[in-house]
Amino acid sequence: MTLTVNGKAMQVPAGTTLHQLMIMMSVSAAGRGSAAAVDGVVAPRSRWESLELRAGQHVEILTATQGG
Amino acid sequence: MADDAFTIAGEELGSRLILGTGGAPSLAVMEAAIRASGTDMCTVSMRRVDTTTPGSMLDMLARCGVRVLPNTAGCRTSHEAVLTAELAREALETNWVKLEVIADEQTLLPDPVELLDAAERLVAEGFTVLPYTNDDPVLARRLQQIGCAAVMPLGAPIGTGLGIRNAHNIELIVAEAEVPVVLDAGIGTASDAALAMELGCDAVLLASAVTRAQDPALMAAAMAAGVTAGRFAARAGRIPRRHHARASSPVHGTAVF
Repeated sequence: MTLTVNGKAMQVPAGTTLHQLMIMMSVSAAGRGSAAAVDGVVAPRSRWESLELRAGQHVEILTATQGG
Repeated sequence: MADDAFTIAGEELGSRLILGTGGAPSLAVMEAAIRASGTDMCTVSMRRVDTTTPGSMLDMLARCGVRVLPNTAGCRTSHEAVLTAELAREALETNWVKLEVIADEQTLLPDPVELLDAAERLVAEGFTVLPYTNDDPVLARRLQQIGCAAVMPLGAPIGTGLGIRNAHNIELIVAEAEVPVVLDAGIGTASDAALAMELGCDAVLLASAVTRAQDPALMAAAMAAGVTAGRFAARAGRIPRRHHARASSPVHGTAVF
C-alpha cells in the first residue's frame, strides 16, 4: 500500500504498523526525540506497535533538531 | 548579589540566559557555546526526520545538563503550532513550549491573531506556554491573561541583530508583567543583552548573535556577562539622568588662588 510519509509517497506492506514504519525511517522506538502524527493527529508512543496504518494515510514524523 | 532566583512556572532556572541552538555550524561549536554561556535551557525545533543528519542534538544537550525547550518555529497558523507543540511534548516529554507563530518569511514577525489563539488552546491542554511575541504591551497583557507562563517580546526581528528597537514598549511590558519577561530575538551583541536586563526583563533568549558570531563560544561568554551586568545594574538602581553636570568631587573647601 502507499502512504505519504513526510510529504513523499512510500510503498509499505499492507498491515504495516506505525512502529514498523518508524524503524524503516531509522527512528528508535526507545529513544526520545521523535514523534509522529497520522492524518494530523498525534500518535502516542504507547500506541505505535498496535497502530496499523491504512493505505493513503498521511504520516508526519518529526524529530528535535537545532533551532532558535 | 545572591538570592536572585529566576523561576518560570515555579521551576528555578540557573541562568537568565536562554540559548537557541539554531545557526551553529556544528554540534561541537554549539556545545562549546552552551558551556561558555552557562545557560540552563536551550531551545530546539521540531523538523521532519532526516536520516542523513549526523549526531544527536539531544545527546549533546543532555551532556551539557541543560533543559530542552521545544519551539514551534516555522508554524504559520494556530493549528500548525498546536500540533507541533503536541508532537514536541510526545517526543521530548515536556509540556513546556516556546510558542512561535510567524506571519511571513520576510519579517518573521509573530502573527498576533494566530499566536493568541494557539496560546489559548495550548494553555487549555495543560502546556506551559512561553510565547514569542511582538513588542506590543497590549498583546503581552492578553497573553498573560489567558495563562501564559512568561511573555517573550522581541527586541527586533529574528536574526537581524538590530538590538532593542522600542525600549519604551519593553519597559511598558515589564511594568505590567506578572509573569517573567524574556527578551527574545534581535540581540546583536552583549550590550543589547545588558540593556534588556536594565530595562527590567527577567531573562534574555538569543541564538544567532552567538551561533553566527565569528567565535561563538567567546560571544556566549560575552552574552552571559552582559546579562549578569544588566541584571546587577537593574537591581542596583541607576542614577537619574540630568540635563546639566553635577560634580562628584566636593564643592566645599575648594582652594582660592
